[in-house]
Amino acid sequence: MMDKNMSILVVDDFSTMRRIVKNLLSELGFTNISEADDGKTALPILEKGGIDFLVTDWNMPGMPGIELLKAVRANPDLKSMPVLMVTAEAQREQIMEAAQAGVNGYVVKPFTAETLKEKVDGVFARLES
Amino acid sequence: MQATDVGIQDVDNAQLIQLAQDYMEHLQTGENSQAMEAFNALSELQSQQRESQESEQGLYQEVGKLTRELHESINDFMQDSRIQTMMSDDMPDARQRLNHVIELTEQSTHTTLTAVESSSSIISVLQQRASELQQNFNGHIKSDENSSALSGLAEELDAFLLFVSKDAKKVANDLNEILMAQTAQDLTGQVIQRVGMLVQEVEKNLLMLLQLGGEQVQKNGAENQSGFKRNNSGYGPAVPGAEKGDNVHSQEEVDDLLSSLGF
Repeated sequence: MMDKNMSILVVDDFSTMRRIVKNLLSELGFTNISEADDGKTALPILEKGGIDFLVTDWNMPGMPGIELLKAVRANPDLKSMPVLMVTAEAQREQIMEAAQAGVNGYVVKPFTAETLKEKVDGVFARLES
Repeated sequence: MQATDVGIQDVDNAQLIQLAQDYMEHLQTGENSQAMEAFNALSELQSQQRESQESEQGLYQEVGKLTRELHESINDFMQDSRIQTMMSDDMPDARQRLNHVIELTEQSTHTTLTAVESSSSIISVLQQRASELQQNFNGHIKSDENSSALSGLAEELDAFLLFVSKDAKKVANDLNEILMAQTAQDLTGQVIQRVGMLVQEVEKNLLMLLQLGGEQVQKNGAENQSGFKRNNSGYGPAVPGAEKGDNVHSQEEVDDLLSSLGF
């Protein structure tokens, strides 16, 4: 269920992008948002527990988003976490790889505020059904 | 390869010997036309052998010539002083300049976002208060039919509150546009990062090529001029860590310099 109070982790190596996503999510009513600058720094935060929703970029120097996604899905405590990828990576085979790895939504940059809202809603609508 | 060559030679020599023997035999038995045939075949085989030897030599000579020409071309390329300057000054700076671009756009974007966030919250409050006031207003003062002067003012105020509501919404939308436009910093930054990696590759390969020709490349300090300064086109913005010559770092330093020179 999409509780507006849910805890969201936003992961992107560009601090400006993290800030923009945070702003957009806050406009949608989500204010419980934390950040990480790489898959490498995000994973321990997720493992510690308490995060309900992961929004991540793909292209990051330490651990790319696809690896983070796979690590999350491989962890019994985290495997059912909703994950939305927000990335400039637009190759068909990458999108397929993310889907096969169990991503719940895929937003390609540049995106509009409406698209982000749509996909966020979509992630939770599908989870509920 | 060599074994085969020797093999072919053996066969050819065996053939020569055979033909020579045939020739002698035919001479001895008086078969002159057959002797002539054997002689011609022998002669033909010998000239074929000589031709292939010559063409092999020709091939070696051609390869030798090409090698010399290549070596000369590489030398000419490296003697070009432009290459020296590029390797010692411009290349090492290129990555720093690109990283600096990303830093500048990042700072600029954060500044913009701070202003957007601040304005957004002001507009949001304005919208809300205008709307609340309008509701209260419609409930109270407008119902007072007795005062006509107040009624005129009431109309104006009502219209104004509506105007504020609508325009606040427009401003809120514009602020959203500005917010979304900032996503370009991420995309351009990612592209620049990749160009930076390309530059590094090119630099590495060029360095290897120079070392191949025995040229030493020294990375020169700030005293040297950049190869890119031609005519009076200047040096471009100062990039921290990749500064050319002697540059100032603030308006204050400019003013201090000018006043110290008497301006």
